[in-house]
Amino acid sequence: MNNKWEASMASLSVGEQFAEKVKDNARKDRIRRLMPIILLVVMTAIGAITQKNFFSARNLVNILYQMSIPLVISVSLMFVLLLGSIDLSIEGVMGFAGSFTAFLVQNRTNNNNFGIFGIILVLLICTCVGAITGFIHTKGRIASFITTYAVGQIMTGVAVLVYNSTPIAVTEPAFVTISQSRLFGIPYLTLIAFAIFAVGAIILNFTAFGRAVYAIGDNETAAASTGINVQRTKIKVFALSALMAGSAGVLMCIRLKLGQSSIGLNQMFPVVTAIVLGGGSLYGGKGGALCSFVGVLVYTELTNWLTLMGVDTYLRGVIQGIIIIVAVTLTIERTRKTISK
Amino acid sequence: MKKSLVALLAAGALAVSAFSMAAFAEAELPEDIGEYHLGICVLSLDNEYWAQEAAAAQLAAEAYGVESEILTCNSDPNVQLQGMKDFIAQYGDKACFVVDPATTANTASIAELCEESGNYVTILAHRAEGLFPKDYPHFVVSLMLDDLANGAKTAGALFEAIGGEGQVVEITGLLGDDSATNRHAAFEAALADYPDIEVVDSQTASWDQSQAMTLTENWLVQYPDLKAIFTSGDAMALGAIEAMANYGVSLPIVGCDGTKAALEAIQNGTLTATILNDAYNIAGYGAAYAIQAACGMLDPTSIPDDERLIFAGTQLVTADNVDEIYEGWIVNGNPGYDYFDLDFTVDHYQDPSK
Amino acid sequence: MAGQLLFKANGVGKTYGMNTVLRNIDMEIYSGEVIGLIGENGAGKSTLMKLIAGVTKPSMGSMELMGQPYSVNSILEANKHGIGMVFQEQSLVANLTISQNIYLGREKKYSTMGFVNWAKMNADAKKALDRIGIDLDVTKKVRDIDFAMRQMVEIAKVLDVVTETANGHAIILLDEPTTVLSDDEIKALFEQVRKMKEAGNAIIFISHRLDEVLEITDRIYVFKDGDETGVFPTEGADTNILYERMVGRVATGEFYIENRQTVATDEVVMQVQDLSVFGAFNHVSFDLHKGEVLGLCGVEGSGKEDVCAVLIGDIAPTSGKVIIGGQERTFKNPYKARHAGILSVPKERRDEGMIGILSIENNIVISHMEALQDGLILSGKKTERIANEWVKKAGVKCVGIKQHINQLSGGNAQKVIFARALESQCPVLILNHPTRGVDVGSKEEIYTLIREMTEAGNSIIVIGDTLDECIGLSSRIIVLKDGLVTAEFDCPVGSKPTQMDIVQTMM
Repeated sequence: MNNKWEASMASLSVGEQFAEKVKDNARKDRIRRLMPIILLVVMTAIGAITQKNFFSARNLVNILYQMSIPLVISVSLMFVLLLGSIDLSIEGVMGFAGSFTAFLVQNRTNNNNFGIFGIILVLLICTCVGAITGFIHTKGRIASFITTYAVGQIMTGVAVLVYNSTPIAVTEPAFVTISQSRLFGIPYLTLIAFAIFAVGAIILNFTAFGRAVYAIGDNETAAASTGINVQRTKIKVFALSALMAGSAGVLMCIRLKLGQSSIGLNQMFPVVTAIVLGGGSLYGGKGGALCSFVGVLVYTELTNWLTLMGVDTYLRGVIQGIIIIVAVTLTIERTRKTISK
Repeated sequence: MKKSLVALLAAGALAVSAFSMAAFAEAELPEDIGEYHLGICVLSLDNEYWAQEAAAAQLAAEAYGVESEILTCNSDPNVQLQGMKDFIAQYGDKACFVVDPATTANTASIAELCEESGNYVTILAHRAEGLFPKDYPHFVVSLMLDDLANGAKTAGALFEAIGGEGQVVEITGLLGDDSATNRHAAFEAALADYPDIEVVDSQTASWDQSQAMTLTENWLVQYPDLKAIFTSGDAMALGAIEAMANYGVSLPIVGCDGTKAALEAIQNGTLTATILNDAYNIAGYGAAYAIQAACGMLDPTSIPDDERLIFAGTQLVTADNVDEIYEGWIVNGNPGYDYFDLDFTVDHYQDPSK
Repeated sequence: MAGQLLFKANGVGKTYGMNTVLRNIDMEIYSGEVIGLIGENGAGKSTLMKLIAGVTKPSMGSMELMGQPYSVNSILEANKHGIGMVFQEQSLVANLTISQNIYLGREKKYSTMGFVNWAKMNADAKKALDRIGIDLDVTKKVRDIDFAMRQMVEIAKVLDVVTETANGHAIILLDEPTTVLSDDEIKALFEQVRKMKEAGNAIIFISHRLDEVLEITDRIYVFKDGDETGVFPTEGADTNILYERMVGRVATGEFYIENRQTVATDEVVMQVQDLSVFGAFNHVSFDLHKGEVLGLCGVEGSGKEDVCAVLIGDIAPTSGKVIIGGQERTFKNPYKARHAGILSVPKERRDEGMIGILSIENNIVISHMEALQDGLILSGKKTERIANEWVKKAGVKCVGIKQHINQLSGGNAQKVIFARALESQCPVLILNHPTRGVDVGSKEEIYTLIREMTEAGNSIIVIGDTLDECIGLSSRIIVLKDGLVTAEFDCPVGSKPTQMDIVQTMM
């Protein structure tokens, strides 16, 4: 029961009521939206105070570099989580993309040298896989949780088949350039990742498709009644998600110069956590580019800081877990629905 | 000095030994050897090392003229046991096994299962505490890798590479994993001999290349005087190497396992040393022990109890010997071992009190 | 005044902080009477109910029950005094059976040593339902019965609770019980209300619908902005005065703005031919003309809702055709329907219509985003201009177009959804209960919008919230009964059919 509303309803004129209501909502919204930013400032301040190297140019570049691939994965999750779905195939698709990229570009195992065309082929395959995932999920009415889990398994399996159990070491000179050359001190790989993220943010915020994703995530029935093509939008989201996961896999291959199925392993849940840290909801409808960016940045700063601090390796997991719980408590959007059932 | 023999074998004595091997085989192999079936139980084939284990056991089976079948279990102990039961149901007393167990705890169940059904088994790399082959006539031998000795070898090689002094960081494997624990203990033990080495940090990367890369990136900023990096796995070493390459430095670094990519890194000069865990040795001879026991060539109970607890041979790989190892193990996929010479695999014996 | 004085409120008021939501209310409740409470949303009706039912305590004044001071801290305590409230939001637990719901929290009397005597509880639940004339399998789960029945179960539950303690002079508060009920069900409910009243109980009845209040109550209290603006005996009550006291302005005789009702042209925008959905309706055919409002009437289950569901692509027809612009069209989903030119304003605004997370602006343009793109990018300027136009035109009360729609009141949110329907450029609009849960003031503005729609050349199919509304708005009415079209009425201004005419063909 909201006493405050009842109060303002009777004593104020309708116009004044709205002013009241909106002022209050805007204030609450501002505080909630600001929480992740505050968290970021606090995290950065703690880092800067406790570690003199935290603000060194090299470390800042490190942080940008380390958040690059999670940022690309976050584009994937940003869309999928906004729908209120989940894409568990991200890790498998990443593993496949990385392995297949290593297989196609210059490497030590075979004589392939398809270069950029190899990467384009990999991304095309990933997009198709995502579209098929979305198709099965929507037309077959199978929960995204199950569909994507199964597809992830398939992609991991295919990845292993690609390199026949012995991971492929990449010798492609362009990959060395991308991870080692810098523009204004920032590695190309980071610039590429940020560009991908920017495109994702633009799609989400400034296209009809992005608006439809928000609408479906908030209220699928209502979205359908407005005449949005719900199924097609969902299929597009899963295709986009797989494309992004594939891009992350390619970048991972560039980063590690090695293609194997395990490069996607444990890449997804940290990013899910990061997005929640940034104020996104697992329930759909709430979140967005800023949430994802801030969340990934805070998360990366946290892991970077823990290493700089030289926390005991056995305690590290405990400390990281506690910090995440505290941070999420501050930033999470609490819905009336319960997610813990 | 058995290790240098290998090089000899590969170099040219192969033909001679193959000839003598054939002669030996014709003389000693029982007539019904073709009816025996070797079950090769590995966790899965998506890992380079496990795939090598399977390939090695197949080589051994071929040498004896025994049928073989690979049973994977995706690291699930129950699936592994069920697969073995199905195999026994199919081939009865003609079945024998070489098993890389899904978990250490599973070794006891495997020994019990094979004892009950009367099938011979060799268990690789893991052994539950208090589980001894002497208590199980069908548990032929336990073949293990001496992580402590291996860790000591790589740590020694690393410390020598930096002249025995300076700042070092350690990247450990998955917390709680017994290999990770042993390799870490070996590293700690090796430090005792090098008082001028300073370990500035030690973190886990959970065997993961990417995590090791991130750790190294951060360390390179934090410890500008860093001299070397110790890792307990090749994947993690490769991650650290990528981080160093991006940073523009090249510090001595060691790994462990002997994967293809790591051997290539030694050839490039980016990796200082690694341990070849040599699946062709441990799994190939493991298979040979099981086959010989099954077809009556070897009576396990005639082996002294303590000699059924074996540490299989491994090799320290450095720039000196990497090329020949790469040729034999990776390019040919067959180092040319004589799987009839069972003693070859014995590097030293395990502590019989554990 | 039929019986003895049960309850008396003396100058009761309620403030929250600086705000006063209820001022100086005097009220008397006698046994054996039905009291109507009317007023716009936020007039204080619900607050007064909550004070009486024990949800909150008054900030001033005092209450008496049977001559004794009455002050309770909880609903449970109020129940013990024989006062029970049926809440607007249903409080039943869907996973439990009907009998378990009726005795939820009161299982103690059926349990011995922790074991519940289900048979006895079920038998009692049966009796509780019998009391209000409902025949239901009490072992059914609540999720398996429809909303109307749930409402009845809720009433049975409250009735059972209060009669247990105060047989003969319970006070039962019904907060808009008819919103989810069909005409038949309302009839049944009223019968029960009368029975309860004859048994000596007092009932307080809140409703948006003046006609219901006039039908069932004995006295009417009118509220406006926290004040009691009048008490009238129902017999001979003047609806104009009631309306004026409620809204604070004189009601226009032309409530449905019939003077702006458009005359349908001959141009047929949509032909429905022999449409059937197995198990819902059969052989429904009609033409929809440009500029007309076609009303669909029928009792719950007559098939009217299903006809609309087919037209907007929610369910697939078993047979029959829909012809638009000379072409036969089938729609697999509402997206395809929109592209064929049909859009709906759904019945459950909050669940089916509003996208709460999006702003007013985005809610308005969402059905027509294709037209607002520059290349692939949505034009912010265009959306803003269009949204501002509509907010002004539809009279949406808000601070700005960036405000989230879920911060709007029901009436204003509905206006936004109407704006969306108009902005979609769809020539055929299907309005399903367009004024459901909207207060009287907003209703008028929504009727104006409907008139504007047809003036702009749109064609409308409407399922009215009440029969009266349906007749008032429509220029033609089709009546369905048991899935078949039973009658068609022309409703030109001035010679509209009466409710009686239509009801006869519905039953």
